[in-house]
Amino acid sequence: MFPGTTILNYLFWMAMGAMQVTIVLGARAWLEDTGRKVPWWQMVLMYGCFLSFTAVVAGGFTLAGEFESRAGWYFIGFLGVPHIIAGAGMLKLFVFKKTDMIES
Amino acid sequence: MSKEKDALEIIGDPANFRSRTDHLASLDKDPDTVSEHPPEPEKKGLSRRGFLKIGGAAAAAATVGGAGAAGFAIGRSDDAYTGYNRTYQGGDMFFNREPFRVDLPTFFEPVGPVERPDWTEYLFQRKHVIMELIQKGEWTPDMGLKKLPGPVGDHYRSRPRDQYDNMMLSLEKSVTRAEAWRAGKHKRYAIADAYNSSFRSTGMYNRYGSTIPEEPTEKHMETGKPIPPEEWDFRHIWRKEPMAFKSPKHASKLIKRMAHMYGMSLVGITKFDPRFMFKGLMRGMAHQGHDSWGDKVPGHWKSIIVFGVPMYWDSTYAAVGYSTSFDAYFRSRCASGLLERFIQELGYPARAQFPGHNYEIMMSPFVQLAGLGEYSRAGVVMVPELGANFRPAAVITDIEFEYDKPISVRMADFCKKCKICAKACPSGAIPKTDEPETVVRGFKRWKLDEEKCHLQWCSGPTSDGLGCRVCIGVCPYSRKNTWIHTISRELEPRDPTHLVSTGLLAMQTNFFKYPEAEEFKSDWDGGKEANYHKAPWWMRSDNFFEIEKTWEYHGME
Repeated sequence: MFPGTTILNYLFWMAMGAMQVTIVLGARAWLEDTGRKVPWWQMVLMYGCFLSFTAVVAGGFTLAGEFESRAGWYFIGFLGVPHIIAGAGMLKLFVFKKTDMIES
Repeated sequence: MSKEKDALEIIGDPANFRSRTDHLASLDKDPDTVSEHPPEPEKKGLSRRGFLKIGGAAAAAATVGGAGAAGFAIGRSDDAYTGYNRTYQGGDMFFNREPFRVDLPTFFEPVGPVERPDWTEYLFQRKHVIMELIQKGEWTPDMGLKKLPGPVGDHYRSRPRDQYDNMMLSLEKSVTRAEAWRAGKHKRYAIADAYNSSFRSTGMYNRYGSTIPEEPTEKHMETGKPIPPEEWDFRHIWRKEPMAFKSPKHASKLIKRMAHMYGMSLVGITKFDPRFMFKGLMRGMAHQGHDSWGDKVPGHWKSIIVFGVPMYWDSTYAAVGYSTSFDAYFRSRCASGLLERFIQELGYPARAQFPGHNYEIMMSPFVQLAGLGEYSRAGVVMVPELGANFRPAAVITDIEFEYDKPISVRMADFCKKCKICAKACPSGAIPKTDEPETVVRGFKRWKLDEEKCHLQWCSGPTSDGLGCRVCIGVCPYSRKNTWIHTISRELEPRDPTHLVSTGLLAMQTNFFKYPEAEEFKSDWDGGKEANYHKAPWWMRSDNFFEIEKTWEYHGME
């Protein structure tokens, strides 16, 4: 990530890890504040989808780094769009579900 | 009258403990109760929960961005250039071959009587003889095939006529190429050609005595005496007895380590198999043994150590004009000379087999038998780490080793479906049949049309025109060492359904863009001098020299 440095790589990945904690805690706080109850396994599914999408983005840019930009964009397009659709579907089913609206 | 509470009771009452921001819970309670305990006014600024919510959303966006940036850096990093590693420990050998060991390499089951190759089946030996005849004035192309003397004439007369025609056309194209070079190509390809020539003319074919390794043919030319392998292979041995290894396993471990120490990315060891040794070819003998050697096999040729390195990745992707084999040839050639000497210093005979044409053996079968790689459609061996971008050399010795077994990682199976190299081949030399159909000396093979391939070599845009390498550059296995390709390499051979290979091939053919086969050719040969990838920045002469750029780069950036 940072050629020629000995410490920045570690700091970068530590920051990436810390951000994952923030994402999970932030999602939990938002769910509590809005009175939505989402079982843990649905959370895992949604977070897995997010991580998988992130990997697709990383893969596309890895190809771009290898001077295969065209393949990289196609990679993100073909594999990323299904992730977005799946993620939106899960949000609708697990978070913005109709029962919540009735209860509220 | 309700009992009054003192201060300590109020503090200690659990009913009085409530999260400051637990507003939703308070809504569910009785309004009277709420009025008794009104919520504290919100403090200005970001609360802890507010920070978590906003921070979480920001972290999600940053994660995606960070992953993209990290991916880009991984792809662009020098660490992705497999074989150009920073250690001598074989750190690039990231593919674990052990789960894929088999007794026979793919397509190694004979389907007929196995024949040893004759020296005339080696294209560059044929070409060498033809050039020698022309130089001596003993034969010229206008005299025709009928009068072409000797075994080379017999070779061409016993085969389809177009093979001879293509060889003659190659000689003509070489003349045209030299004219085009002088007329202007020397500007566009100045750096690529200088890079190539530095290896070729100093590292490979230096005529002033500093060439590595020592070469028996040159010694024979100096002394005029034949130098059989029983003499040459033992020439530096000074010990009365060889250093005895503790076990064959110890021998393998040390020699492999030494190959890495000499800069080799991959190394494997196998038993010497005379079926893949040329007949009538022995360097150091008069006329390289064409007339005298016959089918003899030196008694001390028992084991063969096979090793190699990749050609530099970015230039290989920029084939034809910006690529060279000589960078890898030079490195593997040097290693063969160094390892040969190392073994002789320990008291064992050794004979280096090295590029360009210093062989008594066919290299490809030994690379497969040593478990380094598999046979491919284009006729070159593919290895899991480097794909077809691999240039081997070898040392033959009589040390008893623990041999490596061949591997089957289904690369050859992938070749059945993938015809990318055949479609991209500018000369049409690579067969497009699904299965290997031609029986070559007892084995079924996709038979590369060598003369067609060589014709394209001679039609390249650089000064020597030696090589094309388009098939190697476009091969889906010739990919760098990044996690995304590693996942593919590890998954594909383990997938019993073959869905992974189908998916990978679909991505390869749809996501990646290849020039049309004709576009790879030189402009004077009807092409555009296109490349799979554009030339790397350091090979573009217009980036560095005061010259007028009269060309366009065609290919992926």
